[in-house]
Amino acid sequence: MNPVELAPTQRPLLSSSEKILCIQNKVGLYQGLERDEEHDCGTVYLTTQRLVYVDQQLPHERSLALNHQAIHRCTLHGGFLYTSAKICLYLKPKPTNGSDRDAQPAEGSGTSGYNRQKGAQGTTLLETTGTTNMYGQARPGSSAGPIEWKCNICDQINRGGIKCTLCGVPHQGNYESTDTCNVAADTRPVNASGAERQPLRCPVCTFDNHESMVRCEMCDTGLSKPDEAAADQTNAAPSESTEYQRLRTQEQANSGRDSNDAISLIKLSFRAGGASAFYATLKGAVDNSAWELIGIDSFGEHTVPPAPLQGQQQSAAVAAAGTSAAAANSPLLARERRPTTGGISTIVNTAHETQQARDVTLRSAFSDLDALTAKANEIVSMAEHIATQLNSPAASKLHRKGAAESDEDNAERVDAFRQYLLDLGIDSPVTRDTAGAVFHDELARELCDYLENYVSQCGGTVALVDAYCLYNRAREFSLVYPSDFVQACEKFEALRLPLRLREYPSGLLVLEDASSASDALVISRVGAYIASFGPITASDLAAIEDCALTLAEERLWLCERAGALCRDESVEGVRFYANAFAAAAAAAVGAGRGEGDVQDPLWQYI
Amino acid sequence: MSNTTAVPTPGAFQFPEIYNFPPFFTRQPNESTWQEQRRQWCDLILAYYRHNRLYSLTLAEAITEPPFTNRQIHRSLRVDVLRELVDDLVKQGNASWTGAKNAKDSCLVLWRKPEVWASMIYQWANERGLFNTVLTVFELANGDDTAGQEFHNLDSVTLRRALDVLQSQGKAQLFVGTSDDDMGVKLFA
Repeated sequence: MNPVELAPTQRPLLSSSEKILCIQNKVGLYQGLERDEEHDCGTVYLTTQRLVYVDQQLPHERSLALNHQAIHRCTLHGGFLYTSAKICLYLKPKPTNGSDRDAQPAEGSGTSGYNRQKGAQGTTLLETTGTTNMYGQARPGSSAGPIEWKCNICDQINRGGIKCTLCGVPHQGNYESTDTCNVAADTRPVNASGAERQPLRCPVCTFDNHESMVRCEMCDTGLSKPDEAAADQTNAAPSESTEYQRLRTQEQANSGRDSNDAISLIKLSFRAGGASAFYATLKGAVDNSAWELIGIDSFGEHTVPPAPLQGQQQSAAVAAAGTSAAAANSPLLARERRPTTGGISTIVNTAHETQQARDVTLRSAFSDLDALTAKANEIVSMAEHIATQLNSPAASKLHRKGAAESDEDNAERVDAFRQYLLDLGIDSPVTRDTAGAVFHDELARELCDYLENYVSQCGGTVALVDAYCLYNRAREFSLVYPSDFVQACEKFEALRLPLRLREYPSGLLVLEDASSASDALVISRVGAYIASFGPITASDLAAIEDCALTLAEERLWLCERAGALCRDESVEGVRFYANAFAAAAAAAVGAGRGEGDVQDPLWQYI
Repeated sequence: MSNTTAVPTPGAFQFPEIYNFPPFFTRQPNESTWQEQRRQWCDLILAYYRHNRLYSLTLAEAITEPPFTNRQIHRSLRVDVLRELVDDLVKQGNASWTGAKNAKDSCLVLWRKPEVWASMIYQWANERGLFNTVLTVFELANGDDTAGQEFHNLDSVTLRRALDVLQSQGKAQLFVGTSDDDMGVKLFA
């Protein structure tokens, strides 16, 4: 098991896809068959990827984690009388590559108490958080501090460590903790240089040979690799991780058996119950993680291999019994029912797959939207390009009088196209968010850009309500308040924009093209209409000029105010005539006041 | 066209061209236009009344009759507009409100000023040598002696006005007869 990083709340820090499945407190750990005193009481978190033990007393120092992928099998043993329910976790061995001795975990991780290795181990299982020195010599037992011991060989007082600093002989026995990886009783030849090789023990003379030896140095008997030996002996036994083999070298030497016999075993003791539920969840999680093994080099360098449980193999007293017991157990356990797919695992898998499918869909959907937006931009830019092309030649065509028929058709088409452009809408409208303080100014500018063409098309004057409706429709979804609209229009003059807001005495607000619209023009135009059509009403004028009725009325009133027209009100409505009074007045002024005045010859008598 | 001869014009009144102009019957909002319109109306009224020797005008009744209605173009002047016109005439001195004060329902159209009438009467009296002679008002208006004169069949109110003018000038003296109708007047040289 590996040391685990905890959050300040003393919960384990999870990776992104990791979820906590089950939590159980008052759980103790067992190394093999023996209690792990250091990890006696704590909370176990079952996540989708690993099993995390958070110690109760010293959570930050004593917490461990075990990957599901390292678990080969788990079993549940119910409690009985004084024994609490236990879950046994059988750990998978690391696949051997070449020789056992070679196999070192790429990321050696040791935990306090678990990383004790014999001196021969050298640099195995490093990267523990301070619990081992670079030679992989773990602090024995408790993390209370280095323990002083006296080397048997050279009587050197050592502090901590496994190997004697003077002679290199690994420390044997005298540890408080139960799980000494030692080999205490062993005096096998030490690989002082900390070579990573595990010595081959000769079955005849128990001499530790170099692992690459084929024949024993002393007695010249053939040496066989522990793998093969183990394979011979216990084929049914689950292969163990090589860490075990390394760490159990002594044992191998002692027992003469292969390290493969030893089965890594961790037991979780549920002192407060909850074992069955936990077991069910654990099984599911382990099965799920088994799915993920595919494609990953199992036990490879990707996963942190579980620290070997020195467990029963290490303790010399129980070594043989333990291994034998384990070996005995293993065939039994091997015949146990393998975890099947179904139940929780299926549900979890389905959920996982659904989520993945959803991710894929979302991604593709967004890409479609982007594609759509991108295309819309293209279309708009294309339309604008055509519009600019049309603007210059078409404008001249429209104004040319007596144009040929083809030109008229073109003019119509251009008008229609212009209408389409207007309908196309505005890209990136100005909003308060984008513009902020200069909102009204920016709005005014945008208004001008958009409405200038339209206003000139409509003869230079557009009622404000019409302009407002048109503009808002173009903006589509981010509409403008009427008050904002009016304020922006009032800024036209200040910003020297071509449009003007004008209020008529009747209260009508219009947008005018500052250059093209003038009263005199309107008056002359209306006078011409009357001259040709006779007295006209407001609706007549609206029909003639193709403008709004209010605007037509406004224009007539404008002419009347100027004295060009006079009105005739009747039940039929208001009709406007050319102002005959003015003509008569002019005539009267010219001729002097003639008729109507009492030219009395007797006046003189008064 | 109205004529200015002393003889009552025979024939129908000749309306001016403006009379057939529909806007003529609508109060123009434009001030300058209205000024011109009002002027033409006043002229028309006076000319019409002079032509037809009409002296009094009752607004409500007059609206339905020419000159305030032009049947051919189906237009009529509105009462309030007429009232405004009469006010204008009063200001000119060519009309005076009669009837209840502030009611402004009827008026006297003085198409000839009372002063002019007074001078006419005085002239005639001078010609006939009727100074210092007592004459009845009735005789003055409808007597055979005044036949052919402008003021023959003059409206009594108007005649009264004219005589009042003479009296204020000191050229005549009015005195009440046995009844109101028998007012007498004595002209002095």
